[in-house]
Amino acid sequence: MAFDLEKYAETSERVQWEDLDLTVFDDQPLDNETLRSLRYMCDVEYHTSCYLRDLLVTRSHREDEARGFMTTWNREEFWHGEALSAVLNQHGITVDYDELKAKRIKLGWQLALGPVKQATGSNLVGDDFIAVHMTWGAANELSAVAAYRRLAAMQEHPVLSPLLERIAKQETRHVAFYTTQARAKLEQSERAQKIVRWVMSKVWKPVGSGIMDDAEIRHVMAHLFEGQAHELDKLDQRVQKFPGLDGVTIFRTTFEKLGIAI
Amino acid sequence: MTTTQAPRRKRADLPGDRDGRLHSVEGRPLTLFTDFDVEEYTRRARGRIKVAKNRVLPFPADVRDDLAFLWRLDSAALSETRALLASWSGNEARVTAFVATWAYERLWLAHAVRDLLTADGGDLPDPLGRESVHARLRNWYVERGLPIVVPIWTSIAGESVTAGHMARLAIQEASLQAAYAALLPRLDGEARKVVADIVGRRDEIIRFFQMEASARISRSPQEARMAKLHLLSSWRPFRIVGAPDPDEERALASIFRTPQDRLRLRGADAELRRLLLERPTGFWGAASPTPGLFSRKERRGVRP
Repeated sequence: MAFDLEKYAETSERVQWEDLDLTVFDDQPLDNETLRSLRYMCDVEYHTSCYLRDLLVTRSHREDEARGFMTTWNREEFWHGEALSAVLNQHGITVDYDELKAKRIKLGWQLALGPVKQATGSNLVGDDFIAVHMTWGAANELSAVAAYRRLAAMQEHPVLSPLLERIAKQETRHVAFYTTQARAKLEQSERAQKIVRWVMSKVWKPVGSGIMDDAEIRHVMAHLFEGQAHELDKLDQRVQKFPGLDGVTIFRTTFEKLGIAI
Repeated sequence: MTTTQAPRRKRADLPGDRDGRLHSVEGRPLTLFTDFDVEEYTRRARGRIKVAKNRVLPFPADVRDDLAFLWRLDSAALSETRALLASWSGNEARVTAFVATWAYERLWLAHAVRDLLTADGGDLPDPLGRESVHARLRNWYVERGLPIVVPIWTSIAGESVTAGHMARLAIQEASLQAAYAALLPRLDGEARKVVADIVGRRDEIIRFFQMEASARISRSPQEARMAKLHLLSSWRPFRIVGAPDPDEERALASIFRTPQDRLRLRGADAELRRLLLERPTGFWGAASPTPGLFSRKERRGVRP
């Protein structure tokens, strides 16, 4: 699938929810399990600036296409955070500047050393490191789409489900960008294929890892994908289509490691 | 960003939740606020500036080179974002919320200049002159060294570095605005209209960075010192994260060719430099900057 960056940036709009009546949550509130998953999703969306930072300190930031995309992507993800925080706020859960800042401060050196690790990897590996980022990003965005759609289907809520579908729709455009870039980089270099295969098989973790606590990761993944082996296999099949990644099962393997019965 | 509101019904009960919060403490603010409405700015982000390419008249060579110089600076917003996010300033959620929209707006400012320069169907002009040894060294540092050095030293220094970042970006944006304004009399028709739009759009951007820098400088002596450190004479606003453009010397002399132009450029940093002497600006929210990661001081407002 080709990706038209100019068209993407020009048609990019913040996700809208003003037409959805959030007061419906007063009569049809979400259960705690769902709110906990939404809180995770909201945090991950807002902390996209941390992922952006990790991308920017590598050679990815020198790619013209990547620069334009990352700017627009970061803004769209910020608005996903805004939309989800509006839902959470309706349930008395606050996600404001103080909450986000406190979380980043609590991560301390773990967060501060993120760019150091990324930059060191990029300096050592060279341009092939871009393939790692693009493939990693593709896997993350694929799983984000699946997660939003799964939660929307599980809830069948008159307000939450349409909102999650809108967010998922924007995420599919992110999938298109990362997939196009990853394929191009992997096709150019056998070395990149080997590095990416190793990284995705051994290092990849679900989106949110590195920022969120392990207990929260496990909760969200179990809440959304327990008993959903076919969903995870579909995601793995998408990743297996990337050059050099045939046979890898990153999603199934990761869920098995987390001890989630799929 | 959703502001804190009294819940309309029983609060949800999430693990670790206290007063609807997981990481911060209600009534102990961590964030500095100014009168600038970040929510409103993010909501009203301005996109593409339409350029009627068929109405763009051919540029004289010097105007084309000057515009190309400014295009290279404007299109480097993500490089400035990179330097900011790699530092402690990446923890400042109100700043990163603003920057998400600012980078998007800068993308379209740069695209507008690109569209003017390529309206005749030609390629973007290459910079006149060769990259100096200093520029090559600086670029090498920015590319490979900065992501390793900056996160560490700014995490030790803490939030006060953000005052320096905000001061630099305030002056950089005001300087770019002064440069585009200086070009206006040398432009006609469509190009003049587009560049006037670029000048106008910068007002809000400058207002944020100036207010943010002013408030932080006002808040504490260490933030004022950090701002001064960031504005030492070795720092120049027309450089991408400190790296000079090969065409810098010629372009600046050409753009700021009249005394009025040079006066406007001097005004770009006059306000902040005055503040560094007086520190009078009001603010609310966090009363002091969050200390660095080695600090043994209690981090008020952050739950363990």
